[in-house]
Amino acid sequence: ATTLKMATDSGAKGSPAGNALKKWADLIEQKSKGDIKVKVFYQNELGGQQEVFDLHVAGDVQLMLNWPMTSYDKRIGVIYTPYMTTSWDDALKAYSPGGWVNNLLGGIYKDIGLKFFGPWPEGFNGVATRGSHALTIGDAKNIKVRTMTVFPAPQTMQALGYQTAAIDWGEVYTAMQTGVVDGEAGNVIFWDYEYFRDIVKTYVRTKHFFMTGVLSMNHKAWDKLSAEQQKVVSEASLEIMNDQFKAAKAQDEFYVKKAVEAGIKYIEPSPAELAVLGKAAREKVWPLMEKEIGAEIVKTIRSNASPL
Amino acid sequence: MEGLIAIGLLLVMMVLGVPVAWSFAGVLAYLVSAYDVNIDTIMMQGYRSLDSVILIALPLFVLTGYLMQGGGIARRLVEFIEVMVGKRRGGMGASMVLASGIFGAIAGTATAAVASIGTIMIGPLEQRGYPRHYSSALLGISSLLGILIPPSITMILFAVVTRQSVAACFAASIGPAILLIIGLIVANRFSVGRLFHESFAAAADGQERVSKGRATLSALPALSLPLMILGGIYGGIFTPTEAAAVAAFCAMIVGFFFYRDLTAKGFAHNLVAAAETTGTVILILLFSFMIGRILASEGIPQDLTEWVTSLVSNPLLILVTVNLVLILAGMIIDDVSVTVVIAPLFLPLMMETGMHPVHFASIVACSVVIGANSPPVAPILYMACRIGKAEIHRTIAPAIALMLFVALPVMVVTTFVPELSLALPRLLGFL
Amino acid sequence: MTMRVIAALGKSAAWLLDAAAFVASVLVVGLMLLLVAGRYLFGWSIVGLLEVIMMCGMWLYMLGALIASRRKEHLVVDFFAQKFGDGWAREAHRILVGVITFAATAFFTLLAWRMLQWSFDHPQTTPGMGIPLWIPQSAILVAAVGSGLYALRDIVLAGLALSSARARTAIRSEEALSWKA
Ligand code: NA
Ligand code: NA
Repeated sequence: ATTLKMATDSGAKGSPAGNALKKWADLIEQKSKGDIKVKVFYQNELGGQQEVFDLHVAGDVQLMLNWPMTSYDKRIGVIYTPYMTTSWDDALKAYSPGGWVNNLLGGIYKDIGLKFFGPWPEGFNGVATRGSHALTIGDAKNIKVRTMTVFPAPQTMQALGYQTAAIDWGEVYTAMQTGVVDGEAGNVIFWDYEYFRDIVKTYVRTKHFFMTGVLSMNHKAWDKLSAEQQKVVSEASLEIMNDQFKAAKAQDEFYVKKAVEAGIKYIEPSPAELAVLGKAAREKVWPLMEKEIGAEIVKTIRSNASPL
Repeated sequence: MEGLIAIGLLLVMMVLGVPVAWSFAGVLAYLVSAYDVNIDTIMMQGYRSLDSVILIALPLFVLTGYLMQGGGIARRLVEFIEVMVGKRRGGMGASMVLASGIFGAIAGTATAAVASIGTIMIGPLEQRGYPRHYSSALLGISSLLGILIPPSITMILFAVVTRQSVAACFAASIGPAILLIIGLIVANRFSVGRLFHESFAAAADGQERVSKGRATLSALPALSLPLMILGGIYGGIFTPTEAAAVAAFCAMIVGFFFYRDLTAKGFAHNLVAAAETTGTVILILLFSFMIGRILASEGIPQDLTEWVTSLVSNPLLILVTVNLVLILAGMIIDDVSVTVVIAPLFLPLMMETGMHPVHFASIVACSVVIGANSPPVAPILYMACRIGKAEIHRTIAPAIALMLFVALPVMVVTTFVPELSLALPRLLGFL
Repeated sequence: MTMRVIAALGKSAAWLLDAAAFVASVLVVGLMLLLVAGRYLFGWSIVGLLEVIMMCGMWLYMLGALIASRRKEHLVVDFFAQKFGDGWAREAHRILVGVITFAATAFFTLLAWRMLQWSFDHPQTTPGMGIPLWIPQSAILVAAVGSGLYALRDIVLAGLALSSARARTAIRSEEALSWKA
């Protein structure tokens, strides 16, 4: 029998991502009738985000649900193109097998030695703040938010008018708690509910990124599997992906409800307000992306992006 | 089995006198060959762990300690406390405890306090009738207030390894620190007149007659440092890591411009010495991280948890067991290893008993107070002996007495009264 | 003669190490202050400044570790070793410790080398400044190789002391070769 190690960089045991991981492992074991054994490692059990991704690229962790890191290939940053898709329908279409983002990611993952099964969508992200909040670029001026340390997260928030501080995830809680930053701008509401609900007062769904994890396998490990085993792993992965495509929206809505119950004020900007934000970000950030990830890819983005 | 061999190997090498860092490298080599470890990436994992924004606070707080020593900050603090409490019964011993406490609120380690407070105080203490071996033992334990009172390198390491909030861990051990201060002052007062006689004759004459006002004024810049550092962290001005840089900078300014004890040459010397001290910790840390990763990917912490819970099921007994393990480990290995290797192994178990990780951080810190002073591996106690020019074998008895009657009870109270550790972080909104 | 050349080379290396550690320290403190000041005084958020700080930090760590090897300041549990006194047993013991240390540094070097190889095969850069990963990582290789050389020095000195009738000369040359000042 073959033993595979499976991990995620974000998702503790019992969280939606953690549950998906567990189910993915169970499916593979069941479908292979015990021919493949899977050892599951949740968030942080094998190290930090970057570290686990290293292990995945090296083949020490064969299967992974990962939130794309841009260190190996900047083109992965395509996933963090602000206002690329703006509605669930558009996003799901773009990220499904055969969709244009899906095709793009599949090629890039292959280049760094990973077999891309499909995305694991979470939904649109927003800005969680502890004090005042903003719906316009002008109002954002006095709000300092923490951004992810991937390109072009800080640039995007600056385009939306915010002051930014790129702070490591490990220090976000302290930074928010002590007021080093007024909020956190990078996640779907689940993370703000799960980790910061005692600090955060407001969540504004700015929708600047459509957040998604990726289900992938180390390519060398993939090549080592028999045709039969490959079929099992591939089918299990597609099932997990399809589950999440169906569940993501409901899951997100569930955590909106939980957040509101916990006393967080939830705000969705109007379509007009979003259009203003979207235009500003596209104008300022997309040209930067041309330089970083290539004009060719940005051309593809421009021709496929949702209308504002 | 492999685990036992690894522990055996570590002990053999350390007892042979191989530096601790290289002993860990040896254990790593053994584990790499015993398990299926990818040698292309194992160092990469170590590198990623070292490449931590929180860990950068380590060299900075070490540097702060050196600059306090070189910049005359320690001397002003001691003079200040001396004129405040020195004249009472047991006052001078109490002064050493309090000075270590205030010093600890600026420095992140114990060694800086041993070196500077020891150098300044043990001579005068002897004139006052305190035997050198007694003072050295008291100094060894008081200096560990530096790791109970934030900023604290032990807490930074624990937070990095277990991914807890540094600021919360910092706040957790303040309660135990206050308990330890009270305990040490009471124990010292009890010892005066019983273990030795205090004489005030020598104190009356000579240059010791500094007025309260002048001592306070001169200590003001030094006293403002802890306020700046802790106020900065908890007042939302900067993160613990940034606070470390600000602390080093302020210590430098105070040393150069207020006290003028710091020279350019001394400054360069302190920077290099601090880098060296950091370097001694960092290699142990690097190898420990890699060992920890191998153990984690082999599922050792889970196995250990299952094994202990199969032996003892009562949560109270589990707490006692883990406390014992921490103390025993502290006797035979150094504090960094206890914090980054042993403690994380037991964290899952402690969480299963319902303990908050931040509470456990505080227990680990208490165990380091004991471990760093308990022979055979007692680096702080030995250093205190060297600074205090006391014989080690005579120092051990008072040291053990202070640990048995003060440090150990503090650890027990810390273990069984979670509020002592959790109230402050909760008050500050961290939990 | 060779001894003198080695001593001189070692002295230059020592000076270089101290100077580099000094620069790395100043950079870490200075840039971190710039980060804080930038945020408060000017409202800047300097993308990638932290990456530079982390890179200097890694060099600071490893230079510090190497300086500790040079000055023999790595933490040692010496309650057993102290029993050997000053005779041949002490030197034999030091050779043994030196050989084990050297083996450990050789393993350390192997791992550091493989890490760098991996980084050249899979080039990575930081998100803000695009700093290649091998720059901070090579600090680890430097520490590994350097510590190996210092371990060799310790073995040779103990060997000399063992073979020399006049142990005192050996001890004096040892002082010179710890490049402490
Ligand atoms: Na401290
Ligand atoms: Na000990």
